[in-house]
Amino acid sequence: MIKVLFFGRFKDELGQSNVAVAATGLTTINDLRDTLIDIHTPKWRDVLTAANVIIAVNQKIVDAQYPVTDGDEVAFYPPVTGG
Amino acid sequence: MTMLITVAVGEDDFSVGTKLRQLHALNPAVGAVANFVGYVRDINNDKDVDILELEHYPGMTEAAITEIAEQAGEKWNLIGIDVYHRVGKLKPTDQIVFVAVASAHRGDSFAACEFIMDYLKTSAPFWKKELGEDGESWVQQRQSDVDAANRWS
Repeated sequence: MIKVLFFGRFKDELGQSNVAVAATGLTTINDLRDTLIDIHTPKWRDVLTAANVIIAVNQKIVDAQYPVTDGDEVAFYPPVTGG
Repeated sequence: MTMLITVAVGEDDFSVGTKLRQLHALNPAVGAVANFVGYVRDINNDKDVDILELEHYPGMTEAAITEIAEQAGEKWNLIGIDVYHRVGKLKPTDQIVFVAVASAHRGDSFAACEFIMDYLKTSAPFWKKELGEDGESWVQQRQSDVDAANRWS
């Protein structure tokens, strides 16, 4: 399974902070994102394909072509606002 | 000279005086300690703020701040760095963030302190939500913060 986390505004908009997805058939972040969009409401497309979405795999920032494998922790989050 | 980096995220408040003394006490070679403290304001974008709620990505946040501190150590001659960021529910006038840098001479610590804050604001995974009379809303990233971080690259 791939553990997917959502933070900040995304967590509220999607109504959950995490979801587990079977890694079978998934090669990249793009595949994972397509799967999440397919099995959820249209809202998920709006949130996860926004221009400024930040993606991290195992707590390192990556782009949507980055490979995913079973056991990975993937996070989708909006621009950060700390400090 | 090895540089000591201390990074922490937590709900507890902090004593600026204690932290500055600890940083100074690291090494008798410390001749300068520059620091920054961020506070919760009672108004943001003309709206009253009653509560500021801070969320973070445990593990990744600490790693991201440590990486920023290490970059500062490569750019300037530093002896110690201490970064502490609060999370949870805060109210106006509360302290949110502390950054302090120790060096032999002031130029290094002044510059590194500003560099660390600029990068923390745009790359460390924290998110602020404001709660006030008008309800709650997530804070949007400011272009001025992005511009401030880009100055250094």
